Amino acid sequence: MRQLRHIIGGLLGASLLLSFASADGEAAQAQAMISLTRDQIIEGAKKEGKLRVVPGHDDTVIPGLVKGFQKKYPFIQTTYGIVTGIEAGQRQLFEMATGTSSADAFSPSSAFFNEYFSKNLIKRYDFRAMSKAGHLKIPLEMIDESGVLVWLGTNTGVITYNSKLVPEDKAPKGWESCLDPYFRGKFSVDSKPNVLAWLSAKWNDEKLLSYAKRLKENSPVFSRGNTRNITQLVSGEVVMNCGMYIHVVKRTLKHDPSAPIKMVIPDPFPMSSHEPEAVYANAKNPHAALLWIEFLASKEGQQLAEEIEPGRGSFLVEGTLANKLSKGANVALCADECRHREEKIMQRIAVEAWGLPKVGASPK
Amino acid sequence: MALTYAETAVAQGILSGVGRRAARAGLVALGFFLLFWLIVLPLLMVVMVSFRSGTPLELGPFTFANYALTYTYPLTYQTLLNSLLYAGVSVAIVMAIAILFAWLVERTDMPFRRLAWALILLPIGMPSFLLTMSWILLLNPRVGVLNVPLRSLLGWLGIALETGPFNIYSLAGMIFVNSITGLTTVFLLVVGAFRLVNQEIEDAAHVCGARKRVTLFKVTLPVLMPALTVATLYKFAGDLNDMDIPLLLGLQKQIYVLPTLIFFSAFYSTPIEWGLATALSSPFILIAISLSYAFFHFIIKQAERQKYVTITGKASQTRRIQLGRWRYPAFGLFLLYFMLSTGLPLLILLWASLLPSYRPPSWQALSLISFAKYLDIMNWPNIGRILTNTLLLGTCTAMLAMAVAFFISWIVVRSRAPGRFFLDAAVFVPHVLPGSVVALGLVFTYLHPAFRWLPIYGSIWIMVAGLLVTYLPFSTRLMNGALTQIHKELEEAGMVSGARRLTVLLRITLPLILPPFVMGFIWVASHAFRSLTIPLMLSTPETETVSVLLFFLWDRNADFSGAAALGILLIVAVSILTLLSRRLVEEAFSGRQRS
Repeated sequence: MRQLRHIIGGLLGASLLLSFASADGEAAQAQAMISLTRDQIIEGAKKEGKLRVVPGHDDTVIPGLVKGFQKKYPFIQTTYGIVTGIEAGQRQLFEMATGTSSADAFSPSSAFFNEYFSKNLIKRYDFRAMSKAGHLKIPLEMIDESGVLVWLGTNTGVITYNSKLVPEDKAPKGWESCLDPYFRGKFSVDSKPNVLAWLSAKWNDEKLLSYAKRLKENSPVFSRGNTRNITQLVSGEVVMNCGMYIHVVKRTLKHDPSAPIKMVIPDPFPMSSHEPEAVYANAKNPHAALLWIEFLASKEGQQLAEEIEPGRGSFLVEGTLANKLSKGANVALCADECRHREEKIMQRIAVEAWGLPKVGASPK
Repeated sequence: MALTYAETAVAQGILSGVGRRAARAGLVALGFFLLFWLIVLPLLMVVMVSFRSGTPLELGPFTFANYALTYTYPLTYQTLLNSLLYAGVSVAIVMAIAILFAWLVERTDMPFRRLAWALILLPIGMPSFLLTMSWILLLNPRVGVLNVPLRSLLGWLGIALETGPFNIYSLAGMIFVNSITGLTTVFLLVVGAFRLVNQEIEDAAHVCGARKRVTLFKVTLPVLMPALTVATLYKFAGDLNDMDIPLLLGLQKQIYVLPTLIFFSAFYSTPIEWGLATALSSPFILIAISLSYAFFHFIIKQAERQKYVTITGKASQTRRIQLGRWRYPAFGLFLLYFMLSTGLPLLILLWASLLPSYRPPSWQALSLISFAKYLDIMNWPNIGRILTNTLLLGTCTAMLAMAVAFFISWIVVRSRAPGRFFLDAAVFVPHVLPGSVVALGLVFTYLHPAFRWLPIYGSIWIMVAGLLVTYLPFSTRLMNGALTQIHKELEEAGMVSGARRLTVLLRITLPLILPPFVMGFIWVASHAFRSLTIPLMLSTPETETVSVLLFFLWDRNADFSGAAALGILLIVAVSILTLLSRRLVEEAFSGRQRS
């Protein structure tokens, strides 16, 4: 129901937005890229003295990050907001489009990613140029190809299994195990196959779709969402899951070290850029926002996030879980172009290979 | 020219009369404006976008392509059929049980009637996704907590099964969970009417020689037609729009209904395919308007002729039907329902909430039991504020919803105002309209430069407004049904005695329909306590509610045990508040009747 609601809700809200000819937050016109020096950033932030952030991190992580940032920059009074779920993402988008958002730095919701760009809601700060010149210390690989957005985290997919129900000699070893008749009808896959879609960074579409079709022939149990997937696995309803987020597994094991879950790093090892962060086009405190984004990208900021939510830090930052696991692994990193194609690939897997319904597609 | 005292008084009287009329006209205009802004405008948007290409922020040219694609897709019809089957069978089951239960509680001498009432009300606090999840744990074919011992028992009897015997992942499973989830609402929609039935009508049937069963089917039930129709239409429309249960239970066997087809068709795309989503949603709006029209035409029009009146100026006393040896078995039905709707799901949720992460009941798992998840919730940052917000939200929404519904229903049922069908249809349509539509309507209302000065945006009051629109369909259905049973001679008597219309409404009409009014209050408050979509969209860290926290634990934290612990606390709290408020009002009502 919620999904239906946010589909229609988003649509209506956006349509209503069009009726606001007088809204004073009309999107900013396309601007040239802006580049500042370190001194300009610090001076500007000191003058501003305030910052409002709406990061994409989990609610439990944000207060710790804000505290860490305040410690580093005591002259910037920082407050935060939380955007939880797609419904709130819609509200954020419309607040920004009408110029009523108080955010300075924010995380564009992936569901409406293109709209932030098309409505020019992101300030055209050239992170790449500023980082190259040493005015901001952000790893260049974390910066989006647009240059105005920084990917602060990595999502990582693994194969998990119930260690009580699967004997060691039958334990999965990689993607081929998902095709093993031993697991026929006893393993689950998410009906929204993000993790499989990331493999397109290493496999071409033909190979990926062929794999997905063979997976379907092994009678997977389709389920939707992290909670369902992990509960199904721990309860023994299924004995293996092909494509679960690593942070979900780590979080469960953190709370319950005795949970009968083990994970396998498959080859290729799927990863995706995550936690985008940018400066809002109408930000009142844009300089402080730049320092905030730099802090989140720093080792210090990444460690703070990882302490509470292991597995969400960027694999580009030394010491994060994704970084450690990626060493020596055949990483399939879905970034930039792949990230933009991700939804289309996912849809092809779901519809063409698995036969899930989609209006306009040929029913299987 | 100086005016005399009398002239001044007359002038003031005229002016105040003019002022009153102007104020009344202004209020009516404001009411219609709000109705248009919050309900009609979003509906028009749905229709408009379904005929456009592009994304909502950058709409393309006019097109029929969305409809062409949607209605040439063979699965559309199959899912529509599934939706009708899912909603139709669920409604049939729920109506039959609700009527039986309402009759037993209000019209028979069944023992422990107060307890029976309580047993029916208890599921009201349980979020449907938690109830569905608990039934998955109980009846999933491989390791379902009920299936495993049943399988052993069957094996002992020589029937060897690898899975089952029950499979919750089926259309039958979906209907089963939907039926036990929706019974409380339907029961509340019909029970008030059973209480208001005039004994004299039944006595007349008995005098004419009719048996009890004949009296029930030929006399009592027809008189209750408004309430029964209201309940049927309300439940049917709601079930057509339900996605929680079909997505959790239907996906595995690939059983799709219209909302899940919309989910897969529109939401798995970037940009989201709004045109397809609206083209698929349009039938919901048409169905809602048709159902409203049917109700208006067949019930309200008949009610104008006082066809369903059961309360008149004549005093009457209700006599309970003797059940004889069926008294205790009848109560047993309530216990059975309680076990299915609350007892078993609550037990499995309780078990899950005591574990660090869920695993099936076993001696080994017993050693992991602790209250850690409950302590986590008690120590959650700002939990006091979250609870206060939730309480405030539920109570204010319920008070406003019932007050507004009372007046709207009075206009629809009692007045001859032109356009009252549209008023009734307009307040009913949000029942099939996604909650976030309402929320976004409010966001845009208060983001508009004309309204931005109002101190509502970002406060708890914007959530109250959103929930008010969402729950008005229920509260107006309840009031519509009740008002059709009150003879207007009672109001006329008040007017003849010199009372003003408002006084008549508040001193005569309202007390007569107090039982359904109170039930409506309890229902709205309980649903507002656990409502998710609107708080999720409109809350800020300062106005966060319990349901937002529940969503975080369930969806973002993937912590089923934590969500189960919060769910248990929510169910217990809502149940206590529900039973307490019902008891208080019941006593007050009984006292009023005695006096």
